[in-house]
Amino acid sequence: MATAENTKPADLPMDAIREALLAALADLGIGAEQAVPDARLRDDLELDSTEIVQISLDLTRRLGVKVKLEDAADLTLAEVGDLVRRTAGTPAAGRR
Amino acid sequence: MGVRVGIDVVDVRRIGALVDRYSEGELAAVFTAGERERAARAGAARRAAHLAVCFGAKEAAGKALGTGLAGIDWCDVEARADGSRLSVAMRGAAAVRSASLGVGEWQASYAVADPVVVVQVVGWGA
Repeated sequence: MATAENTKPADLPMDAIREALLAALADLGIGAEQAVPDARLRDDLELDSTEIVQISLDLTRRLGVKVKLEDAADLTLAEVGDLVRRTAGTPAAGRR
Repeated sequence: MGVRVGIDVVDVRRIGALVDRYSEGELAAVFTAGERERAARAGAARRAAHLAVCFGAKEAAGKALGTGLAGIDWCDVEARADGSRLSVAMRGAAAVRSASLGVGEWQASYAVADPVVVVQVVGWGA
């Protein structure tokens, strides 16, 4: 498991991001069978704002990357992963 | 420019779960220092309810701004709950959006309907 302590965000592999996202979703009772890449946070997984905040905070805790998932669009899990990777790769952005 | 209105309903138990799960430092991504300090002063039994009102105010403000909180940090909207009174202050991107809409005055109110709180934010031209 990648953590803020042992991994530079810019080095985050997609596997680590996927693992962290699946763990965050599992804590909300969403199993891997539902957590498919094109599942949308609100429409498909039926997450509310507080649950989306929990995912954001979990990703920060697990990966050391600060991401805000509230967007004009209802993000898919694949888009969340891309957002984490982009944020991690932006110098001085998304770092705690 | 018309009146801008946003309403949100927050389950206090969900905020309680966040409060139990995350440290004060982690919650700082969502709640301002002032909000967290006032919630702490409200006492352990009322802390989650206090933060639920703050959370609802942010969500309601986002709706009133017409964009939700896309591009707006959680802490760009600060709620101040004092007894039954509630006010909101816009900062950063929220203030920019507010100004672009011609909104100069914001008022807020809330009601408790256990286990949820209902928060309303209204804005209009100064």
